Amino acid sequence: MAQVSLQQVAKTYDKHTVFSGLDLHVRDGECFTLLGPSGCGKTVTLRLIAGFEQPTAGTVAIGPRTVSDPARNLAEPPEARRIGVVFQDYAVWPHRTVLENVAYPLMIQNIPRPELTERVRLAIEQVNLTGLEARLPGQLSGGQQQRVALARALVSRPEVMLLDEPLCNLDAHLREEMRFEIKELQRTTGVTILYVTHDQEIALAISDRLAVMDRAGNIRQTGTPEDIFERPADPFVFAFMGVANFIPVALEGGQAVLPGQDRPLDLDHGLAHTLSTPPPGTQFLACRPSDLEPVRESAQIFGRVRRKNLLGAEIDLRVDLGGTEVRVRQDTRQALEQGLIFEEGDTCGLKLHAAHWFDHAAENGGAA
Amino acid sequence: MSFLPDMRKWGAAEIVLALSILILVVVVAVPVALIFITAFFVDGAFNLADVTAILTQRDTYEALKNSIIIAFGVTVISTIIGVFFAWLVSRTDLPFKGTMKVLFLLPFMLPSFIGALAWKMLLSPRSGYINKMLMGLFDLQDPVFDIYGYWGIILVESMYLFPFVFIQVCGALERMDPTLEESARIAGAGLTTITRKITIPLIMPSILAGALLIALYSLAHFGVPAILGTEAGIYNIPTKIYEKIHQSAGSFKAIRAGTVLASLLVVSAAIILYVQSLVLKSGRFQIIAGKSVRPVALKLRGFKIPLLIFSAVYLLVTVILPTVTIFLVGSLKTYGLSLDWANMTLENYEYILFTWRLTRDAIFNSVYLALSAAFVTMLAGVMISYVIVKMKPRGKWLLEFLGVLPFSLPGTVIALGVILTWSGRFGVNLYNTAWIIFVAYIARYMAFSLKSNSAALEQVHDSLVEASRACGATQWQAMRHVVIPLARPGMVAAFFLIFLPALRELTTSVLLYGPTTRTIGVAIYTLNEDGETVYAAALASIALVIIVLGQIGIKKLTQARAEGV
Ligand SMILES: Nc1ncnc2c1ncn2[C@@H]1O[C@H](COP(=O)(O)OP(=O)(O)O)[C@@H](O)[C@H]1O
Ligand SMILES: [Mg+2]
Repeated sequence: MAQVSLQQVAKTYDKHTVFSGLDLHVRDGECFTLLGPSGCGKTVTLRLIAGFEQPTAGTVAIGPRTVSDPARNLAEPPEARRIGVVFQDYAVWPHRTVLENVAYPLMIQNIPRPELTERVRLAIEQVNLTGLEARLPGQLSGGQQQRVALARALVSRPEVMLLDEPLCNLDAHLREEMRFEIKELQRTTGVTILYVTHDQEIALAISDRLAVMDRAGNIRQTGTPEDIFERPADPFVFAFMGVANFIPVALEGGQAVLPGQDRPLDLDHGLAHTLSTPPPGTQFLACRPSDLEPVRESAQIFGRVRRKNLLGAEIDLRVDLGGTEVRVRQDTRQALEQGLIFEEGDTCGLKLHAAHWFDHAAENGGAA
Repeated sequence: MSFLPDMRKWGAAEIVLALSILILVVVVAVPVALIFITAFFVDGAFNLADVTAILTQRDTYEALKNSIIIAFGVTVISTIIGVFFAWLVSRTDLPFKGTMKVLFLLPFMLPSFIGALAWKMLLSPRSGYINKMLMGLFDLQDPVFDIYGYWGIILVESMYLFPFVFIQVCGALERMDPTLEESARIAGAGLTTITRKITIPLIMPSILAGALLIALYSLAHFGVPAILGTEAGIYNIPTKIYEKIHQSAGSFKAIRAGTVLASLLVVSAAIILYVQSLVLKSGRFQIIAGKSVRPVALKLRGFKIPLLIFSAVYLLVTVILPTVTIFLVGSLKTYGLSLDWANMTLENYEYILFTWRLTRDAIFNSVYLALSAAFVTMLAGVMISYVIVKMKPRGKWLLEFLGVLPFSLPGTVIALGVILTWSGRFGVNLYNTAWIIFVAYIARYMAFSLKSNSAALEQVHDSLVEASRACGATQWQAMRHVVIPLARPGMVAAFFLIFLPALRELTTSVLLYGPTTRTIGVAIYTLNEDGETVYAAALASIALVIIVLGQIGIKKLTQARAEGV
């Protein structure tokens, strides 16, 4: 098995620079996700590792081998890199049956017949396609084609698998099932997986570690799903991981005053005890809609309900705090039981459960 | 991005690119350039006075006028026929619609110059069988019909060209979203209003596209005017060029006059293709593709049977009658005898197939040239399309430009260009050899090959090749296992798209043939000119048999392929 590492990689097309100094280290045997908005350079990163593109500068290494190094004119061709790739558009060969697609990498390696048959059978079984071996891709659903691509990438037992948004064309149910299967495959085979996606839910669910990339191709934070979700390095990461409120704050004697409030935010009461006092230079308080709980008593923040949407199990409230609109999520059943149903125009008290201090807001202002 | 990683200066990619450019330059660009240079430059100096002089000569001016008159007439008439039958088989409850639709494509199989030959035998004023029959029946002094003239040319060409419009309009009517018509009907519009306000505007682009194709074809068409016009002193541009070059045995003066006329053809062809592309572009947004929902068919009621009979009679008269005539006349002991069983013999066929050198050569030449030109053009086309579609190199615009150029080159123009290029000017003299026809065919059919191969290669996404590389395949293995199998249908299609028309080609080869390099088309034409009508007909029958066998072969092959995959 092998780790993958990119050091100071730059990639430029004509005039367009995708990234200028990318560092990325995927550890041996882990499931690593590169998460970022579309167009940020995720596919380019995979293509650089697979060898379909060469970096403008910097090095790419797989295991102990450096495979790309323009400074030394080194560019190992894709077929020599021993990787499995699952493409964004599946890239299953339409003129070959499921069996022929999956057997292809082994045929190229001249694996003897009995072993080939056994390994192909196993790979097809692993992705739950047994029985469909003789079908042509045209006779398969999108999800099944995806699994053919997965089996084809797996069958040669590569050290590294690169997966490019393999689930984004599937429906929600299938996506969940496949996500589980990929994770399971990784556990049983121990292959190193580099998975790229723009979907933060999949990234959180599947990864051992993940890196968040911004539009300019810079990695903003690398860490475990808990790190990224609980301790975002900056507003971009926070906003990218889910719906976010950025509430401007004014600092008065080291205490934060939120818009439309007549006293500073009381951090000692309520459930916001995890929150430290705002560091100097703080401009914004960031929180998720579910971090704000509407209450009748011991409220820390007061606002006026602008809009209320019943979404079923949850209620989505838009609350005005002195001109700043914040989103609040309320559990419908709890709200009914406790008589906490607010109507548009009502004044509403809020309790803050968790939040982050930032010195600027996210540039895109919200979730991906 | 390219499949080929950035390599040293002269890697495989650069060689393939250079070779592609070279082929297109030599085969297409140089001949066309030489035509314009010869037309507009004398002794290295631009010379417009000579051009004007040539154009104001009575016979060249007349040829231009005739080309336009004939093309206009043919376009109008075949568009009317094509639209009418297309509507009949796609939008009404005509019985046997499916079969009729296939049958209306039959005229495509009959080369129009063979059709012209048949109609000459039936309707020529002195010896046409129908004229003779009518004169005998009604005891007339003068023939009823005279096929020699504008009307004869226009009608015969229309008979065999209307499928261009027919196919386009059938396609448009089938792709048209029926809800467009239905919503109009719900809004209370009557059938005539719907047809006028909805259907016609929607299929207009297809009609125009087909019509322009016919105009382009007719403007530069040699066979029918040569057989039916020359007798009456009617020349169009291609026949005039042929006459000038033939009379003067290829003198430079004649060739120069030819290049001036050819330049006119190129320019009009370019304009027609440009207008066509505009029309098609405007049509793309109007017809909603997809949906196999059949629109409600118009009930013909009382007209059902009469219209079916009309269609059947039309096909009988335009396809069966000429074909039968060709076979019967080809079996006559002497031309002019009545079509009696007693006057028939199979000796003609035996003679031209096995004994007579001229016709044997012609059959051999045509088959051989068509096969080799189709093969070579297909291969060159794959390579060039691969460069354009997949490698996307710098300088690709030049390839693309050279690649579309052949679309606008009529056969006569290619023949002239090839004469100018390969008659020793660059140290190679192919004049009077089969090679000159071979190069001309490559130029003439390159457009088909590029179109068919690029379409196939567009379907082969880069990721399919990359997937194969990631599985451990080398570049060459990826090519063999993925690109070629997926591009093969396009290659097969290209081969036959070239082979069949090349087999019956006349317009180009008639300007290029030498004593031993007649093609089937040329042999039929020259035999007819020399008054060997019976042998011309016999050879034409053999040509028809070969064409039909070829068509059946393709059908079998493509069916086997469809089932095999
Ligand atoms: N072959 C190429 N030529 C020029 N620009 C490219 C090429 N491939 C990708 N790019 C650019 O690089 C950026 C990143 O693309 P990509 O990696 O595909 O994004 P994503 O993160 O959605 O996968 C985009 O702005 C894209 O336009
Ligand atoms: Mg991508």
